[in-house]
Amino acid sequence: MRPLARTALALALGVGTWLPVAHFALRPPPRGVRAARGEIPPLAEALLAHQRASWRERGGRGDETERMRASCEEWDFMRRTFLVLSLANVALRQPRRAPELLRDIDSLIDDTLAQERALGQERFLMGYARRGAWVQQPPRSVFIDGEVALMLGARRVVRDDGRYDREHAARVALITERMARSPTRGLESYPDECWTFCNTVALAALRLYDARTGADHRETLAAWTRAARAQLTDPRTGMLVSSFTVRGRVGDGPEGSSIFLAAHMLQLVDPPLARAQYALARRALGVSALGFGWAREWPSGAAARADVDSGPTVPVLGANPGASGLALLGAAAFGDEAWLRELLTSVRLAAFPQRSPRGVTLAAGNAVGDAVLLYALTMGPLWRAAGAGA
Amino acid sequence: MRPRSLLAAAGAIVALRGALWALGLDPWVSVISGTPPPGGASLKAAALVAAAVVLSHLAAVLLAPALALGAAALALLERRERRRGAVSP
Repeated sequence: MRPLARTALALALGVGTWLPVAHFALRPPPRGVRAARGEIPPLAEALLAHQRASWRERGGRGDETERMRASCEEWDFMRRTFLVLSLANVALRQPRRAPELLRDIDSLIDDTLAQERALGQERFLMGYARRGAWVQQPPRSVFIDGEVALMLGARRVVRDDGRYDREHAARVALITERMARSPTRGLESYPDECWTFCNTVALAALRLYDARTGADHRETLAAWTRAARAQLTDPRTGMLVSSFTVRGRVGDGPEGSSIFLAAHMLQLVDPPLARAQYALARRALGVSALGFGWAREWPSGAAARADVDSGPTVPVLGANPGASGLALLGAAAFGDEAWLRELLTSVRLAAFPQRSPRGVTLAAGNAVGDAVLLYALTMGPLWRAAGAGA
Repeated sequence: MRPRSLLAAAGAIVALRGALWALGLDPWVSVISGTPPPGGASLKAAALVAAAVVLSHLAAVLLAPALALGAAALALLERRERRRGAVSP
């Protein structure tokens, strides 16, 4: 055999032997994905420790938050939401820890409400919220109202001591009243820009409110999902589109950074729709290869329009960090353990987990990415308390 | 190419990855998510460092072991051919 052919054969053998087994070196153990009842996975515990320490750093205005806000003000807010949801789930899993976790939940909520009061909802919105004309008056963002209502609901599921009753009821009333006035039932996150992500969060918040208080928003929820089935479904893929105008003109089509979260939120609102959306997203956007998992931001053949939510996409593979991060959440929510494990294997390969005395953070992401992963690893009790089978 | 060269290449990749890690440059990959690196470094410099960290990391995990296995395979192939008298030692 010629030397060149021999070397090529040897390299092919090396690559062919290693690549199919490389994932075994990175794959989390089963209990790293789904912990036993009353426990949380070790990675979640380490992420939680870092998140809590980071939040306490100068009252949530530490270096990590400021660096994140320099890129996108929304991330500061979403990090709060996912951290509150995670803390609530851990408190429900481990009631003995509830008092200390509640202190962090209350600190996150109080600071968010104080900043909103002092600086307006724009504090947590990107700059273009101040330009453009809001269709519904007075201007309000369902991105803020929905996530605040969800945080308040989560807090009240852990402990309902009356502290946030009025704020919670007021926020829910705002959402309900504005949805009733919208022709598509969709509410704006930005001027004449309704995001499915934010609207489904608001719907889940209404459901959580009902579960907590005995109120009944079923008609509002049903009206929204009816309108979504009729007007917000992408005809090519069957998935819900990502953005639309108040009058129902579609902006962005289905996106991985939106649909996995939307499907999870819809678990509280319309379980058959939620399951169908996850299955469609998994098929159109999910990838499994050589023991690794990732998600694409757009279905094949769709127009790609990168934005701050999608972030950069790995060429050739189509792996997208934003979509893959939220796919973790979708896989965990729908019990897709095989894909969840593959996604976590990819996290260990490509997200650069950094251990420090105060816990773990993913260097390739940021605090909101860490909080999403933490939520994916801790979710369950909160949705169950609201009547979902998550 | 000899097995030793393949092993040396694998070793060099792992050494480079180890050096970048030891220098504490892993946090700079935060620029991937659009988040500025710690310490206020310029985004351009951080992007270059992040690219070096990411490429060396992927190469160390996915390529270096394959090169090492390739070196072992090459050594076996050479031994087999030496036995047949087709390759001079």
